Amino acid sequence: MPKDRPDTPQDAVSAPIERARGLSNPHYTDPATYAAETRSVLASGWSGLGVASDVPDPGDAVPVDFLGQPLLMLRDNDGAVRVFQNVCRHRGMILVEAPRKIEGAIRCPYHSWCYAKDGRLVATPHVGGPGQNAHDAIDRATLGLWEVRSHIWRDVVFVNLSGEAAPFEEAHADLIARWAEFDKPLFHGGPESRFSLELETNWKLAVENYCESYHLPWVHPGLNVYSRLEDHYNIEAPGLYSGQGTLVYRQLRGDDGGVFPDFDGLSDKWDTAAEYVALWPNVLLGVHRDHAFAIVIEPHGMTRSVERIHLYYPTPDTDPALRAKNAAQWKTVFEEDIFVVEGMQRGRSSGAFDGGRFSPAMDGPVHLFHQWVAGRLAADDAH
Amino acid sequence: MTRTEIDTALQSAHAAGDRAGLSRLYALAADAVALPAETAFLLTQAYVFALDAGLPEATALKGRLQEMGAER
Repeated sequence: MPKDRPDTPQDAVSAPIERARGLSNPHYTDPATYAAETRSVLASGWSGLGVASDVPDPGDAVPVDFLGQPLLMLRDNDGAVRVFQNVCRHRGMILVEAPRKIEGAIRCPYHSWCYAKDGRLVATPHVGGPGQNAHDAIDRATLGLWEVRSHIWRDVVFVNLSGEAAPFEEAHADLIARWAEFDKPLFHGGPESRFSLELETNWKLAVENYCESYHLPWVHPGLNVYSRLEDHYNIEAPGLYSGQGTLVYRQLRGDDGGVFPDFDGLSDKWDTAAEYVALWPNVLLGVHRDHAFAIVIEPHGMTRSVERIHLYYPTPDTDPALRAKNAAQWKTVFEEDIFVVEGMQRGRSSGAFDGGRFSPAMDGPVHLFHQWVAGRLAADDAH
Repeated sequence: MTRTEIDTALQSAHAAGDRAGLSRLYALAADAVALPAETAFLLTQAYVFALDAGLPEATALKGRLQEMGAER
């Protein structure tokens, strides 16, 4: 006789959706579980760190505190975006404290060891004593900055802190193929197309809310005027990503009736379709015929997250007023979600909450995400 | 500039974070001293600030240090 109630939280998540329960409270409230997820879920795969548009020109450098580690995102002289540990190989001093332009070398502010923008250690002043800048014990060739494995896709800078994940193109071949039609140049909309939201919630709840359409009629009534629940479909790629799509996307129009240009070469399907995918663990993506967006969720501890939101267009010269209108519309939508992701976090303090039951029809994308998180933790436990 | 004037200007350049000025002033100071060790020290300071600021003079300063056996 099939069990109606799974025995353990792990069983509960891995059960078929009709019988499953969601991740248990400790996944949102227990420091030890948070630490385990940081290691097994966020550091072991490809996580979003930022966007390449944060460092548009050679020498642009942005320090990022990611999962408690000080990282440095930098565009080198050849235009490549690199990610380094933001620490000097000498005494572990933080190298870059705030976003700035590196004009020449990255000079440590402590003893002035200098690194090229590609990470090579190029100067070690007085390391052999005053006026002696070399020493046999200091082999510069082995003391460059520690580079963090990174990959850029759709302008998002992904990092693999463990260094052990499969290559990005291999790990995410499914979504890359699904959105091959959108593999076109993306032009960041500029300052008004970049905004952040600070959330008092665990990062996973922002992912979970994003990837399902069940809440749309209740939380986003404005969207629902033209996008009814039945016009949406679930996107479910077990072990990879999940989200939702719409069949009734309508282009935003300016006061003069103008619209954004389309991405070149899209098939007719995209005239009215749009898709919204949570690329696990922490990147939320959206594609439409005339614009796209990327959201990188920065986990800042167990119950605090920051969403960095960026809007992109098919050409560099779109109408600024229309861009501003589009950004305002999306900001309204994303702000409408704040009370639910924060409310769910507070709800995880309830001793009675058992992970919750899913709608088999509507919550598949969330259930898949929970299964993936639980699976990553279990895989590491098995090791 | 006298050595005293250079020292005063160096203090101001340090306070202002003027890396190009620091490089130029340390190079001037290096030319004003006689002891090779002191010259190497001051040229190193000039070289590092030139590197930091991305100044083309960094190459020549490194060359001088290499000639003195102070840099590889």
